[in-house]
Amino acid sequence: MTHAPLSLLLVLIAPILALAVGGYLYSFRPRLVHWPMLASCAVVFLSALRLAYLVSTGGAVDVLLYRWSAAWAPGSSWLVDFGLRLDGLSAMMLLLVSTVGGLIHLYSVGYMEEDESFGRFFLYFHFFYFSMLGLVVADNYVQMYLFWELVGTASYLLIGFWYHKSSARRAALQAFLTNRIGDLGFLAAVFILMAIVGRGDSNFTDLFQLGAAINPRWLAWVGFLLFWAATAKSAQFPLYFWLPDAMEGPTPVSALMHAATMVTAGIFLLARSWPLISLAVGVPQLIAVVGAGTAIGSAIVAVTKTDLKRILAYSTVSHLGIMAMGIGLGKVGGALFHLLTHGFFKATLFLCAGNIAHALHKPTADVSEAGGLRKRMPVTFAAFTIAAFSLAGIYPFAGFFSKDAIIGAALDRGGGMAVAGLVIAFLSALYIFRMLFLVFFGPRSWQKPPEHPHEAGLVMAVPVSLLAAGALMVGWGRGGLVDLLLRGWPGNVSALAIPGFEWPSFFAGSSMVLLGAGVAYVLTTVMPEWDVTWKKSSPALAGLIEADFGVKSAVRSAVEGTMFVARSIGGLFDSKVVDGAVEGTGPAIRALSRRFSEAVSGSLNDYLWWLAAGAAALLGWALKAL
Amino acid sequence: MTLWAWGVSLFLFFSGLMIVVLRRQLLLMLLGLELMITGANIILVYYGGLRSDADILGAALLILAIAAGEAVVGLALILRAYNLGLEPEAPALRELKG
Repeated sequence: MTHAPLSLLLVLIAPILALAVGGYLYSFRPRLVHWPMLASCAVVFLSALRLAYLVSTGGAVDVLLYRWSAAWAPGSSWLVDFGLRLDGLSAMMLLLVSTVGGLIHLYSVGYMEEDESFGRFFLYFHFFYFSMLGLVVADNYVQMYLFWELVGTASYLLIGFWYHKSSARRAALQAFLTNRIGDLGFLAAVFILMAIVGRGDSNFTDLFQLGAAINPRWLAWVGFLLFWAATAKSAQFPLYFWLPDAMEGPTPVSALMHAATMVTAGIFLLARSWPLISLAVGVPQLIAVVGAGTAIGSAIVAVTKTDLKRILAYSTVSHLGIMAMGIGLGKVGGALFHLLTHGFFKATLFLCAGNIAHALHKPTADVSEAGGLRKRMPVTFAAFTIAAFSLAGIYPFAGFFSKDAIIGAALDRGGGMAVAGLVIAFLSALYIFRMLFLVFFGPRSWQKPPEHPHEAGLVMAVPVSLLAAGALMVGWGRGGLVDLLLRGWPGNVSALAIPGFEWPSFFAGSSMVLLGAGVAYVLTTVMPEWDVTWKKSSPALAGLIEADFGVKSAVRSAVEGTMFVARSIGGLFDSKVVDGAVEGTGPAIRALSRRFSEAVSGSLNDYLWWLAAGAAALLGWALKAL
Repeated sequence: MTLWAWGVSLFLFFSGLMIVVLRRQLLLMLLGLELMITGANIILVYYGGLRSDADILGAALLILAIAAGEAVVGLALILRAYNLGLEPEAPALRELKG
């Protein structure tokens, strides 16, 4: 337990102060609420830079701030710490969250300008940001769970931000409840670890040293449950469907959620727990398979969607699948690298979609409404193109390097994984280029081009440009990233290695990307009608994809089945036990009171009898005691 | 002498108790109460004299005073019941019946 660097404390203190000041300002100057938030973002960003420097020169730092012990419970050695852990992993996450999150804060100032709930938006938004920062620097599972839940709560508030829309309320509820299902896994894993280790506090360093000594069967459960938690937060099969529906919130929320805060939490959890998960028998393989399946399935769905934000949402699910696949293949470094680059290019894409929606004065836009925007919105077009190239994985954009690392690992593994990697590369290029062509080129015969689209203001254009620059360049710092991640890494070092440029995977991946881009060009430009007509010609296939291959309904029936069973049991319990107790109490007391009221005859003589009898009894008792 | 004192005292006490419990007329019940108090007082005075203890005799006097007060309150209650047109007997006062 070393001395806490000031910048580490500032990462949590600055947002708390900003929230307090903002909450106070909100009561009388709601239009000024964003200033403390922006200041806090600046402080956190500078602190993150300083911390990354500290870690890369010094090493990991563990700080114990407060220890809560349950000494009142006899025989308990239960301790819950509130500490901060700073190592390469949290420093990288801090950099990502503070950079992307800060820029999106700036963007929101422009985007939400006309919204009447401007102040409320920034309070929620900064709370979201703060929760994620707390999650990243948590130094034990209990604390991490606390912030994990705060992230879920903040996402609920923000997805349902426009609460007057019933669809937004429903989406918020769905996101929250789906995440609760995942949280149950996290909670169970924490309980198992507590039971095994005997101490609730065990910070990560201590816990991971125990790793190999834990009973492998329990360890497998822990690994599985942690992955279960990650499937909800990071939108993996089967709990992914809340994410596309979470588009109901304002676009900056989607950008923050997809790039920096919410969905990265699950991948972060997996990376953080890698020393345990890597020992859990069968779990890494499961993660890889689920990740690959999610990536392919959601990419196929993304190809068919027409709402801009929805395409991007399915693309996020797909990319999270790629990251999970990378982790499952043991390439944690590659997965984290992809998390970083994905944060930049996906934030850019979302903010571009926000620009377009803003230009059309709508909360979201459909590809049929946006067409030929290239000349009207040049900045957005440039940023979108860079981010799309990065997403597709074209050399030398950032996404290429990170995706190449994972696809390379998949090719090394061979078999189904290699095929999956190539299919994902093809599909992601296909959907993103389809979107690019549909939105910025054209317009086509079936598209209604917007009337008077205008480029976004400076406060919106600057963050987008900076993020796009990140989407272009972040990939070049991969050596530095590995060096940073190695600091304080508790697991096997080989998991962090990010392979350099290799010709086989470059050729395999890039040819798939070019193929995808080519197919997208053909589908949108050469035969533009096909995109709308194929759904009519094969309604069965369209319906299958629209229903997410039945996953949604399967999950829904599972949930409804569980609810039915629970309701039956609960109903039986309620009608028999609870109602029985409640309704039985009255008659029982009434019968008893009837017996007693017979004694109250109203006759003075009777009372005196009882009085004398009582006095005699007391006297007898007193004499006996003598 | 002790036997006599106890005899008279207990006789008065239990006759009083029997009257209080068994008779219905409020006046008689009040009389019974007075008898019980007197019975208890007799044994008190006897032992006070035997031990030459002024405290006990003082207590006996206090009990006499209380008995007088109690008679006043009791008679007032009976008078009140009579004025209200109720029979001055216990069964007439049944308002506390459960």
